[in-house]
Amino acid sequence: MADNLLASAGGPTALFAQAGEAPLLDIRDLQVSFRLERSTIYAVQGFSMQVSAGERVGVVGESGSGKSVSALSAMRMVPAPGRITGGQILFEGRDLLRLSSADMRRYRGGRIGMVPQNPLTSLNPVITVQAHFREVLKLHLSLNRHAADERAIDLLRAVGIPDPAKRIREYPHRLSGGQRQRVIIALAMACEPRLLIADEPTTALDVTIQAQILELIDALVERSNLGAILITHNLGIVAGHCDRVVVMYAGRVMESATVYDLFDHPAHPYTVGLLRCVPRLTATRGRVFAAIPGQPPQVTRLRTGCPFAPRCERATEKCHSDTPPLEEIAPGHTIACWNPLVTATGRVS
Amino acid sequence: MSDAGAGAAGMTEAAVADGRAMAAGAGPLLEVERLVVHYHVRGMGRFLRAHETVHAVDGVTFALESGQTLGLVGESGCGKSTTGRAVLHLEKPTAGRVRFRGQDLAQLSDHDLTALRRYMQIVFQDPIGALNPRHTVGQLIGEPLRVHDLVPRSLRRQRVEQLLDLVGLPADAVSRFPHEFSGGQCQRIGIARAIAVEPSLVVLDEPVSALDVSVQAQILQLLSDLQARLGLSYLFIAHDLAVVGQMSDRVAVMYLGKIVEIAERDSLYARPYHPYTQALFSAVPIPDPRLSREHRRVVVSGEVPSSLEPPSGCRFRTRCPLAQHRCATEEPLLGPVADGHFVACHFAEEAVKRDLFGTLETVQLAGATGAE
Repeated sequence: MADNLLASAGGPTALFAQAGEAPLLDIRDLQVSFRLERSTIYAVQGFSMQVSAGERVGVVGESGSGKSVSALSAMRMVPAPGRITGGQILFEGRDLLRLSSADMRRYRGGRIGMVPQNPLTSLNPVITVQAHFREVLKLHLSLNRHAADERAIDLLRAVGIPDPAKRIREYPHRLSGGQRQRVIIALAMACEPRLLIADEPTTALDVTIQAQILELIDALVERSNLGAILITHNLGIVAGHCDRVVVMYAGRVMESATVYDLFDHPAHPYTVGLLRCVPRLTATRGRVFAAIPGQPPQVTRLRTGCPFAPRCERATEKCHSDTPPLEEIAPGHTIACWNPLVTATGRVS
Repeated sequence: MSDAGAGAAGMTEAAVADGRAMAAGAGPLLEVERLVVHYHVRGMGRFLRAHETVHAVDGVTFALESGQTLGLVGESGCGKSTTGRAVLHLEKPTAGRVRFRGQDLAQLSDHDLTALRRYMQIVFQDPIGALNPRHTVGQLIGEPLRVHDLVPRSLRRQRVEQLLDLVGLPADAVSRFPHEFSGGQCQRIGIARAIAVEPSLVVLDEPVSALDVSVQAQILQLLSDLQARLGLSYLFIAHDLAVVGQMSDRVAVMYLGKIVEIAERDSLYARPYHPYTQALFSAVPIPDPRLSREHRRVVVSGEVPSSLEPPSGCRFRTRCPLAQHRCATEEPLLGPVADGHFVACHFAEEAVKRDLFGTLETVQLAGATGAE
C-alpha cells in the first residue's frame, strides 16, 4: 500500500532543488503579530526550529504560547489580522516568505501537508470525501477525476479506512471523528509532501482513537521519510512520538532538545515545572499537586526580560530586565535562561 | 465501603421508607441504583419516523461515602456526564433510583428537591461558558446564597469575599466580569459558586479538561484542599485516567452506558481486569520517552459503537480480542475479583493473565522506574 502511495505521479518534484545536507525546514527568528484595534498581540517573538527528513519535532506549550501560530506560519497560513513581521522560513533551501502567493499555493497541500486540530470542522460538510481529494489532486498533480478517485481509494486504505471505495462517496458527517481525522491525514499525504504539520491532531479525539491516529502518523513518517511537526500541549504524546522537542512560552522558545535530553535533563525552569505538572498514572492518590503558580502572560506588550520570570522560583533581577538569548548548553540542546538547572560540573536534574 | 458496587443494590424498600430518618453518617452519602437514562430521538422524514433510543446510561449502580471521591472515567459517549447530571436530577432518570442521605430523589416534590440541591452542587467542564457573562463575579457567587436564602443581604458581600479568598481569588474580583479572567480563574469562580451553599456532595464534570496543565494542577490542588477543609464528597467525572487516579479513592470505568469495572483506586491502577480498562490504560500517553517506546503497547482497534444500538451481551465485545460466543449472548454482570474490586467480564481472569494490551507490564515498569 505504501509503495502505491509513493509511486510518484511525476510533476512537481523536479521543480525543487535538492536540499542536500541542509535541514528540510529551517525557521529562523520568526516574528508574528496580530494588530487589533486597540492593541497588538505579539504572538511569536523570535521562533527558530529545524526539521530534517524523517524527523518528528514536537512543539509544546500551553494555550497562547504561540505554538500553533509558529507552525502555521511555515505554510504562511497565519490567520488575519496576523502578520509575519520578521524572520526566515527556509524550506528545502528556499525562503517561503519571499514566494508569491501563487508559488506558495504550490507548496501548501503539495510539498507541505497539514493536519489541523479539529477533524469535525476541517472537512467541507457539503461535498463528499471524493470531492475533497479531486480538488487537491487536480491542483497539485493535475490528476483527472478517475485517476484522483483511484488514488484517493489507495490513500484511504493506507490510513486504515475500511471499505474505502464505498466510504469515498460519503459526506463528512457520516464519518466518526477518528475516521474524519484519518481522511484528513490521507488528504495531507495525497501529494507526497516532504513535511507534515500536525496541529494538535488528536486533541478532539478519545484516548484510544488518539493512540490509533498517533501510530498512523508515526508509520507514515517512517515509510515516506517525512519531516513532521507535531504541535501539542501533551508531554505524554511528545515522549512517545517525537524525536526532538521545542518548548514554547509566551511566543518564545524556552528550550529545545532531543526528547531524551528534555525528559532526562530538562534545564529550563519552565520545562521542569511543566514536566512536574503532568498527571501520571503512577502517581498515587494525591494531596499535593505540583503546579506552576500564576497565569501565563498576555503577550500584548513587547517587554524585555524572560517572559517566565514572574512565575519562576529561580528568577533574579536580571531575569526581569534582560531577555535571555537562546544558547546551546550541550550539542543539540539550547535554552533561553539566565539561571538554568545546570551546574559547572554539568547537568543536574 | 469497599463493596460500593453491590452495596447499593442490597438496599431494601424499608431503608427507603425511613430514609428521612437516616442521619448523614449512617449510610453512604449517595447511592445510585440501576440508574437508566434513555433519550428518545425521532427519525427525520416520512420513512424514518421510527423512534430510536439513545442508551446513554444503562443500569449504573454505585455508592459514595461521605468525604470520599469516586472517579467516573470513560471516553466520550460512555454516559459519565449524563450519570453526573442524573445524580442531581438535572436529567430525569428513565429508571433506577438515586438516594442522597437516604432520601429517594424521585419521591421528592420540586420544592423539596430544590431545597435538597443546596447540598448537591455541580462544577462544569467549560469554566467560561458556565458563567453568565453579564453578571459580575459578586452576583455570580451571590446567586446561590440568594436562591437558598442562606446569608442576609447585608452580609452577602462579606461572604462572597470570604469565598473568593477560599478559592484563591482577590477580593476586588467581586465587581469584575467573567471575561476579565482566564480559564483557570473562571473555574475558581465556578467552584466558589458550588461551595457557596456549603454542599456535602459536589459533582465535578471534567473540571480541569479545558485547562492548561500548569493551571490544571492548581485547580486539582484547590479541589483537594477544599475537600479536606470542608469535608466534601466528590463525584469526579473525567476522561483522563491519570487525573482521576490522583483525585479518587474509588474509580468506576464506564463504557457505552455501563460500569465495566469499579474498584479502590490502588487496586484498579495496579491491576485493571476488564479488557476495556486495560485498553484505556494502554492508550494513555506516558510522559517517559524510554518507557513509551521500548515497551510497545498494543492499541485497541475499532471505535465505540453507536449508543442507539449497543451490541448485545457485553458492549465491548466488538473490540475485544477475547470475545467469544458467550459474550454476545450473555451480558456479563459486575462480579468480585478482589476485595472491593468488581468487573463485568466473563473472562476477567484470563484478561489479566494474557495482558492483552501490554498494560500490566507497563504499569509495573512505570511503578518501578517512575517513583518520582
